Amino acid sequence: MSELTEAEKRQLLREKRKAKLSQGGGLDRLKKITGENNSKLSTDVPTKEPTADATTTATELPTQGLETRINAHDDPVSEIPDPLNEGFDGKEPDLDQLIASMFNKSAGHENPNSEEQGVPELMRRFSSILQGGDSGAAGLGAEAGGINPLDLLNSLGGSNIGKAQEEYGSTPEEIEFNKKSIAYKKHQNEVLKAKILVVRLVLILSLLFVYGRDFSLSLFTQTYAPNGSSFMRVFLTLELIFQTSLFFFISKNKNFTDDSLISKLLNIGGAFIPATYRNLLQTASKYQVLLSMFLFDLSIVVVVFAIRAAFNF
Amino acid sequence: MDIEAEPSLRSIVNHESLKWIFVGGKGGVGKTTTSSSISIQLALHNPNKKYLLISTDPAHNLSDAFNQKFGKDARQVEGLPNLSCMEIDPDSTLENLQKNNESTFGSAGGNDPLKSMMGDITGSIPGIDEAFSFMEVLKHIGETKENQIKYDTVIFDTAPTGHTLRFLQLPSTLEKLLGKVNELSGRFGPMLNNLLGSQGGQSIDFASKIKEIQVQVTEVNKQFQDPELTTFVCVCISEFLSLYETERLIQELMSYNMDVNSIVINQLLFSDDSECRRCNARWRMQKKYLDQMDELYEDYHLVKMPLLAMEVRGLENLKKFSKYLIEPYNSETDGHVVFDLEEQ
Repeated sequence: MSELTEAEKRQLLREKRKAKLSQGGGLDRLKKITGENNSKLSTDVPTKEPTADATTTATELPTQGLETRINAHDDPVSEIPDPLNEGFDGKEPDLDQLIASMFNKSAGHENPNSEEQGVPELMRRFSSILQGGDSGAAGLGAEAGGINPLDLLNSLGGSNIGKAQEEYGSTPEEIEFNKKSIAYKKHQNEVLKAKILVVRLVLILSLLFVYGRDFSLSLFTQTYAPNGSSFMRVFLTLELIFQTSLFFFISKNKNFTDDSLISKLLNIGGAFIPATYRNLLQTASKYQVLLSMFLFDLSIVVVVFAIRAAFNF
Repeated sequence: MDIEAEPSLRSIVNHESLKWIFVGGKGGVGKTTTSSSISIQLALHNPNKKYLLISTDPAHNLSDAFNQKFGKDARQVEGLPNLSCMEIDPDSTLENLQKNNESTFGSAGGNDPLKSMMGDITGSIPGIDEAFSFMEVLKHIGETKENQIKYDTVIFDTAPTGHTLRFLQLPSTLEKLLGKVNELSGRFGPMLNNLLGSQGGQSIDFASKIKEIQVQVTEVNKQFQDPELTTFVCVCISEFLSLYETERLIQELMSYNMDVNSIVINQLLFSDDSECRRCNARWRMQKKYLDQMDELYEDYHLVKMPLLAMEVRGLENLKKFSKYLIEPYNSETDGHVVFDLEEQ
């Protein structure tokens, strides 16, 4: 027999190595290293005796019967978790499945039995949306003939929106509870405002009653006369104390909501206003509440004075 | 016929057609020293060939190993004219890419906020080091451009196992991905060309670009799977974890149809008659795993390298050390080398 060339030797060694790793040999080898398998490793591997064919170059040697590429599905070694190589399983991803699974996930559901999966499913949903709702498409507002925004959000945002929906309540009972809760808060706010109004009215009317006897003097003289009664001075002092207290109260009380124009604008476009301006506008909104209350108080005084002047009592 | 694999890397050094040699293994086992040593031996044994040693490990050590500063461009090793080294740096490669893109697509000026943002994002993408290493492979796969040196063999000093496996899987994944993109580009190609291709007043045919890359990637994949063109040298030490990881690595590489025929076992003590109790105990432990390796890897070129008294740094020290990759180390006759290195 003629001497083997280097290429042929390499090829033969390669075949031996492959043969040892085939048919679960890989697992045996790992077990041997970990000490789970004390049996002597099988070194008897079928090797091809070089024949006349061996005179050809190594790359031309037949390898058909020695195709021992480790199949990840057949190789028990792949089942062993590898702490040194965590997060990487060495398997090539199936791109078709990957893309299909991505689209399915983005469509908010996974249905392995569905015939229409992946891109077609997504396209069906889009076309359905564009057509203004299709009774066949789940959750696209078939009754109203339009799009159910929640389902549309689910379609676009996937499971995260679903999660948010769970957190904030999605069952009819929860929705009803939320509605009642909002109505209760609104009622509480109205009661609070009414109480403040009553307190202010009582104070102003008491003040007017106390100073009613000096009504003969004009408002101007009452306020600025050196020895006269000072209705306006007392009124303004009380207003200042009242407004200051109220300012702190509404700043601390989260339940207090005002219906000012600034507040409404903030509710509508708050997300588009920079944080600095938003804080300024919120403060301005509070001052607007105080100003409107002061004007209301002043208008009561003016009205009472006007009535008394008109009827002269 | 029973063929024994000799315990040296002579077959690699004398191999005429090898184009790509990967050197990899667990962290801290001496991959850089081994890859440098292999490169030196290749360069010494084949003075008419040109070799390039590339470090794809993000924590580069080539400069330290050779005591010479290397960078992102290939630089000749002082004292060894047919060997060059380079360290792939994702940041500077990214910078170059951006410059190329600017020249191709036009620039938004020096204050382009998107530029730095994209740089940060791209730099933090997992596997970007592997992607840039792969780009370097692509540069050497086709026809060499003007002013570009044609290297006969490229040696990779790879990152620890996980990175390396990702890098080696990249061509095959990319090939499939590009195949898909190519399919889609038939449908959406004209639209993409209209949307993106007319930037900077230049028209770019994306379909043909993708096709071009796909051809290159397929070629890389083919070459990586050809044992006459590519081989992987595993580096390990004689300890349990290293042995286990080496076996895993070999099995993974064989599943990619990559050839692994050599294993270098570093840091062996060979202290049979030492008075040092610790050395003796450790050598006994090493021998236990060496026996296992001898049994497991009888069909591999199993190269046993000694642990030296000093760091193997600098070309001369590397030359002394690398000799034992070719001539198997004998502790009785070659023991002097342990203390024979020059201090760097």
